[in-house]
Amino acid sequence: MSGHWVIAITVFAAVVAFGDLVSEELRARLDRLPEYLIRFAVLRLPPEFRQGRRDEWLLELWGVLQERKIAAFPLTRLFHGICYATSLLLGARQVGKDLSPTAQRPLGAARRIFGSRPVRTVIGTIIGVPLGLIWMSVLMSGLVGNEILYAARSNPSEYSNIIGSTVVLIALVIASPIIHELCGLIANNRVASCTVAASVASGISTSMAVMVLLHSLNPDIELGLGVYGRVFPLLGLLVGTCIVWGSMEGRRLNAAARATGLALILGLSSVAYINIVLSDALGVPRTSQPFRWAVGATVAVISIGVIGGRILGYLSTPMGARLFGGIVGLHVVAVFAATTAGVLITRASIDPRISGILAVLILGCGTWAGIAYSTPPGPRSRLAR
Amino acid sequence: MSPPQLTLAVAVILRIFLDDIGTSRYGYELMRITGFRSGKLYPILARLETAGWLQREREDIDPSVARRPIRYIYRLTPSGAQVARLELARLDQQLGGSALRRFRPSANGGNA
Repeated sequence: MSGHWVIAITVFAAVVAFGDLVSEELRARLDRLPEYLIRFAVLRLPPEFRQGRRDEWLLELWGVLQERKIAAFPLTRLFHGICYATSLLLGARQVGKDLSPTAQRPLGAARRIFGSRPVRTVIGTIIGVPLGLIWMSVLMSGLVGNEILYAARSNPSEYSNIIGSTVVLIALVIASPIIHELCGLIANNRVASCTVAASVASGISTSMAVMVLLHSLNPDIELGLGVYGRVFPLLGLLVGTCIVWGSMEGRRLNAAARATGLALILGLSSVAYINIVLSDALGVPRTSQPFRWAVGATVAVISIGVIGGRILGYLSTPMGARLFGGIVGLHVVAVFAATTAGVLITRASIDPRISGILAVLILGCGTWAGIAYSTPPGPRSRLAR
Repeated sequence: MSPPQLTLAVAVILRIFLDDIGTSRYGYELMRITGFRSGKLYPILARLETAGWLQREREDIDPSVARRPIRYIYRLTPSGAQVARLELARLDQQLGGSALRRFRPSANGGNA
């Protein structure tokens, strides 16, 4: 038997074995689908009733599957399980209302603005939220940090830019509890929170990848462009003549744009902070669990986007590969440390004001580090041009 | 606590409990008898429980002996039984004395 045959048979056996594993995994997951649906349905109940109803409904599911004597028929079992769980999912909100008819749900700003119509709420959220607090407070603070770096040295290097954008990510993750609170104030519902998280995550992960891609196409484009590219539409709205593209010559940010942006950041942050203090003072309950999941998803997407972007950049930037490669490791470690810290902080339900202060401190330290460790003036590398 | 709105579905459930006041029922059993879907049954049970007509409790059995998991069971409270009987009688009267009986569930599922 020739070597090719051995390889072919081995590959075939591996594929068959892998296919079996996949099918077994799928089967196990599908089998648990009704249970997942029930767990999801329970989330629609007021928190104080969830534990008891979850136990009851899961046990009933067992009854549905066993007493019908369909345990040996996977498709029939799945069908009946899904029917039972889906019906519960649809009726769970009503169960919650019936169990707690006098409980008043806290009214978020979106509910006050958009009313109770979900379509309007979703559309309003999609349009309004990304233009709202998140981008302008956390992400644009990164822009300001970068501008400070830029102004602090006559010859800013790629280090300062990279540290600047890393600091934005770290601040974003550390500030996740405060973002959560802001979202709770913008719209105290799951859709809004998830939309915000998704917009932030997609914004960051996309812009990072775009940044590196642009850099690979044109080495003259400085690293850190992603930050500018991301906020370009916003700045473009503020000042039509603002140029935020690429090279030193093109990167002239209009002073008016910066001032207006800064004023917006400070204004919105102040309003948000006052709202948080007020909601605490008035005892308005704030939801948290759904957004924690959303933050987790955000962190995952950010990490994937950043790492993917960096790897792409490393592979497609031969000229600056050595320098870039060194920074890749540092950056990835920093982002992972930050994401872990963010998740821990969010799970620990630390006071948003404390995490906000932490974020500001980290921004400050990052800014200082960017200034302190940037490449000294002199002949600039091609990468930094 | 205001009494729950007595819809036909609520009446069907109450009738099952009133037919055998001492017997506790569990959710799936009621689904089987009435033919109601879970999304219809549990809101009714929750409404009646909140109104104090039904009492919900965890079964006190040993799962290894019974060879099945513990269930959550529902039973009529004494006050619930009294009010339910009156309300059903009133509804029966309003519907002309026969309408509700038409929807009286049979023991093996569906409506008799």
